[in-house]
Amino acid sequence: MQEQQWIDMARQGDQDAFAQLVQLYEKRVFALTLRMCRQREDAAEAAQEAFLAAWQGLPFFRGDSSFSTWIYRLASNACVDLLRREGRHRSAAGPSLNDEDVNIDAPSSAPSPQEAAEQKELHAQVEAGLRALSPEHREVLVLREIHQLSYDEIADTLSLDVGTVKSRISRGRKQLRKVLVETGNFFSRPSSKESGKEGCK
Amino acid sequence: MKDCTEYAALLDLYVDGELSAEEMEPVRAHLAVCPGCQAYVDDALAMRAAFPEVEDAQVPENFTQTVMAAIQKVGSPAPVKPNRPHRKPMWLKTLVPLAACVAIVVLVQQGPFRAGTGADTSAAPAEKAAPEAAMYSAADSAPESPQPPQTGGSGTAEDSGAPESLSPRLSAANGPEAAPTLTLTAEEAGALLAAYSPVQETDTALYYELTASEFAALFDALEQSGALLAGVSPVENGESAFVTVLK
Ligand SMILES: [Zn+2]
Repeated sequence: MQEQQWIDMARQGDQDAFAQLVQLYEKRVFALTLRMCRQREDAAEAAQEAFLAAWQGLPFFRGDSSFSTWIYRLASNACVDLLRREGRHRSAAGPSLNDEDVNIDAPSSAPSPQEAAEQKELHAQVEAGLRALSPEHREVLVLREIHQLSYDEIADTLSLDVGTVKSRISRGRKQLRKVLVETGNFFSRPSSKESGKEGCK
Repeated sequence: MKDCTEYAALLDLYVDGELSAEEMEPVRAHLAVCPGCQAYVDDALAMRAAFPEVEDAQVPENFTQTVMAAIQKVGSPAPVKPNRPHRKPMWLKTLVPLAACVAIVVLVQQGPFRAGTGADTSAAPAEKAAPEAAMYSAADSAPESPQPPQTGGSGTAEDSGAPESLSPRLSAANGPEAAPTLTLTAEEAGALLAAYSPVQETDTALYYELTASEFAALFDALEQSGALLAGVSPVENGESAFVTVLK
C-alpha cells in the first residue's frame, strides 16, 4: 500500500515521501485543528506543528496505532500546546471560519485511487451512522462537526441550554461510535471494539 | 486527583475545544496514562476526520510547501519529543495575513527588533542561521541529526574548532526548552542501553525510547561514569525520553 511505503521512506529521511503524507492528510488534520483551536490562524499553526512533530517523531512511530490515529493525536496535542503557549482562550465565534476567499489556489492533494476510495467509504459509513442516530443527537453533531459551531452557538441556534447541548453531543458521539464499531471496519485499531462503549472502563 | 470517570466527562469538551488551556492540560496528561480515554479521543478524531465535509476544508495556501520548508530546517527525522512547548517557528510568519507580513518586514528593516512572536530571544541565532542551513543537505545542516561527531564540517560556530567532546550533547537546534533528548556516542553509551531494544535503527544511529524512571537510571549511570550532563533536564513521569546512540 502506497501510504505504508511513504511512511517507511519518510522514516529513513525521504522528504518527498513525507510531503506525500502531508498532502494526503492536510485536509483532515486541518479540519481537526480548526475544530479544536477555533481560529483559522491557530488551526494552521497547530496543523503545521503536528506535521513537524510527525516528521521528528517518525523514528518512534512503531505502528502500534495506524498512522492516521497517530497524526490526529499529534494534531490534538498541538492544539493544546498552542493554546497554552500563546495563553489563548477559545473565543465564542471565530471570525475567519467562513472566509471563502483565502485559499482559492490551494493545490489539491492527490490521493491514489485506492486511498480516495477508502476515504469515500469512511464518509459513507459516517453518513449512514448519522442516519442511525435520533434527530436530536444527529442535529447537534452536524452543527458541531460540519458547521463548526461552539456549544454556546448550538445552544442559541436550537434554543437549548448549554448543559443539554453538552450531554447531547456526548451521547450522540458515543452512539455514532457504537454504530461505527458495529459496522466493523471503521476504526483501524482493533482495541476500539473492546472499549467501544465508554471512554473509560 | 480526579478519577477516570471525571476525566471521561471532559473528553468531548476536550476534542471540541470547549476547555481552556489550563483545563486541557490535565486531560492530556490523563490521556497519556489511560488507554481507554485515549481510545475514545482517537475515535472521536477519526470520526471527525471522516465527516464528508472535511474535503471542503480550506487548507492554507501552499501548506505542504510551508511544512516541507520547516522540515528542511530541522533535517532528518530526529528523536525529539513531539508536542513539546517551544518557540513559534519562523516559518509560521508566512501564514499570517499579508498585511501583517508587511508590518513584519517593516519592523525587520527598521531595526533589530524581532518581529511579533514575543519573547524568547534565545531562539534568535537559530532563526538567523536557518536560511543558510537550508542550503546544505538536511544531514549536514541539522545539529541533531544522527551523525558521528568527527564529521563536524558544516556545524555551527560553536562547534567549529572546538575540541572533540566526550560529553553527551543536547539537540541544540531545538532550543533551550526542548525535550530532554540525549545523544550519545557508542563509546559513551557503552552497555548502558544494552537492556533496551531500539525503537528504530538507521545506518548511523540507534534510537531508544525510555520511560522517565529508565531515563533517570541512565542519567545516574552516565553521571557516575563521569559524563558531563549539564543542560540535560529530567523527564516528567508519564513522559518518554528519547535517546540517540550514534554508531
Ligand atoms: Zn480514563
